[in-house]
Amino acid sequence: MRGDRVGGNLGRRRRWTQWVATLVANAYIPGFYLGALYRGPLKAACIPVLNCYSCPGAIFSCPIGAAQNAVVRGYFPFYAVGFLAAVGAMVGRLPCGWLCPFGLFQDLIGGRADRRRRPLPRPVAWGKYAVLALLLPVAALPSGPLDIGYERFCTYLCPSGTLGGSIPLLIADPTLRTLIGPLLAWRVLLLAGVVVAGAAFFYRPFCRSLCPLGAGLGLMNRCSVLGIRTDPSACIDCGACARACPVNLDPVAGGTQNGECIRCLRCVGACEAGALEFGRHAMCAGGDCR
Amino acid sequence: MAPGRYRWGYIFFAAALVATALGLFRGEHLGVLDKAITLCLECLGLR
Repeated sequence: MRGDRVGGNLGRRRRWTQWVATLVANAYIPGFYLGALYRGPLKAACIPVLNCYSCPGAIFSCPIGAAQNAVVRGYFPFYAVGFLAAVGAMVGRLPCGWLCPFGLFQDLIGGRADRRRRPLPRPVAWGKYAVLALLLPVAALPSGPLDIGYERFCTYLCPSGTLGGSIPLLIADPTLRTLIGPLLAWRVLLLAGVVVAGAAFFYRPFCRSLCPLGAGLGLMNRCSVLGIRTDPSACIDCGACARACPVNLDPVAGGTQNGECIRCLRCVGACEAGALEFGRHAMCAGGDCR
Repeated sequence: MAPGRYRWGYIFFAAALVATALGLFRGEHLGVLDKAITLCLECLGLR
């Protein structure tokens, strides 16, 4: 009872939720064969997952792209940043574990999580915070002769855009294929090298090393209104939760508040003593829940 | 009342809602819409 099988019903419920969220976020099916974007009013709404708004199926917007675009237009992105912060303050990185289409992709290509539980080197894990910190300042920089575009995370780094946007559009629209160049080659290399190859060795390599959305939500893990509550009095120190955690955290030792925790809730499913529960922290009796 | 640091979750949530409302008031969502309905070739690595 390890890896993807941990938690039984909870694990299955999570996978179903991931699929439903992916299908809802990319519900404009005609876009995939027309090679056209959805242009309805829902696109004004951000969703707390990395799902490129240039994906032909996308019916909502990516807050990372929206925030960069606001800076390019010359104003601070209160809407995108506020929305992301509100989600983070409420549930922390729960959307990473349960809703993100690109997280689902990494879950699917990597196989069982327990075979990929290698710890990520700390400097690599800090990469996502560097990307988050530089996201808006770099978007504000003027464009140079060798530079194209301003939403530089989208242009140079985002593998979700390559997978969900570039590849489906290139398949659907032959005229776009004349624009294939070194930049797309770099992005495909990043997708294949970091995400696909990396997923064979590490659980969710992109989420843990480069994703600014996960970094932003993770900053709130420590104080989010809803989170994984631990009840030390019920814990039997069996270590099942720590063994189940795909990102090598120890939930009983405070790992659930760590920014690396994607709140997949495998630990909750693995705890047979009932010492872990997802819920509102304020409900902890006596205020001593960790 | 929420114990300890979790109180900050409520405070951040309230502040974030205010920021979101401010953004909506300023019409930032229309900028998001304008960007998101336009095919961004740079964002797709196609330029």
